[in-house]
Amino acid sequence: MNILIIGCGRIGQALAKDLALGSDNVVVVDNNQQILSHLGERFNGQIVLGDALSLEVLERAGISNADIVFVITGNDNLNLVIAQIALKIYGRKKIIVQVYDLEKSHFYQNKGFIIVNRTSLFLENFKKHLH
Amino acid sequence: MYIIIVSGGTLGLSLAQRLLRDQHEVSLIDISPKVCQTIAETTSIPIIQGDATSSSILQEAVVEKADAIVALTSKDYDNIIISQIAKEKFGVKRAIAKVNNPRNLKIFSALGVDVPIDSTSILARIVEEEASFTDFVNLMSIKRGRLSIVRVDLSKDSPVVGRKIKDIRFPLDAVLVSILRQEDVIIPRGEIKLEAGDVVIAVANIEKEKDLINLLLGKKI
Repeated sequence: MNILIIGCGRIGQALAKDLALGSDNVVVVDNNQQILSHLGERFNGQIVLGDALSLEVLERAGISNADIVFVITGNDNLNLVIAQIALKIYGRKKIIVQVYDLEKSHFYQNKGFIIVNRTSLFLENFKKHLH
Repeated sequence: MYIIIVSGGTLGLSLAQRLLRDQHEVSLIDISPKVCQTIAETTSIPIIQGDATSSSILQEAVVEKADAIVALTSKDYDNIIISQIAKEKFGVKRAIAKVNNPRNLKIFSALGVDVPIDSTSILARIVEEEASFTDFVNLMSIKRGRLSIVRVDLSKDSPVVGRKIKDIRFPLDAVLVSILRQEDVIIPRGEIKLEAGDVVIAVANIEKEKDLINLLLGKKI
């Protein structure tokens, strides 16, 4: 399976390292060389340095053949635009996008990609321990 | 009309002032407290400080009453999200947005921005036109590039100089629009003779553009 991860922050890194241990083909995109270097020398995937809001960079990262696209840069608006590019320009079927803002999470729900909102994830988790 | 402009930079501010002068209603939104303060102190334009991708800020500007939203921030992804929320959530009819990176133009169109303004390319075209030493310039492409408007400067070597328009065999799908002769603008008619120094403006189907220019300049481009 081809997995494209856009944004190599803490979550992107952990996800990339974890998924690259299996047999999947993992590609990570970030515009910060230093952050990409945190993946380490043993990282068994492909690294693409560049601005993810660029069709040229996305194509270089193989978006046309990606089976899953994770969009996890630190910026909600950027994430939502990249997710829509993956959906509308490249026709990707499985797109998972991180959004911090609750209001935007609601508004962009059911638009063809899966939204993961950290605040509500934490909330649910915390509530589990209430009783 | 009521128009909301996002970003109180030079462009946003002068647009707001123009629209007010033309009797439109305008609100500005800018994220920077400093910019907002300056505008509040020096103009009478209503200004709201905040993030225009947040619904509560848009509502403060009474977005549901707006006829158009103009997103002029320096981030292309912010301009796209502002347009989408204003249109889809609040029913604003028209979203106009600045394209900061010309390469992103296709993204704006695919993601529902009605009028993406690619100011870099517009400026580049004007500069090219003004600075050009070539004898023809593509002034504009319309209908997604299928139709083009060209300017051709006729030199004394041009094979059409001295001939009447009706005697020149123009390619099909190409028409002369006007002839600029010194200070005069001449509407082309059959009896008019072309002269050296004339500037010819023509519209041509994109496939016929080269034929037209070759005919007017007498050389292959």
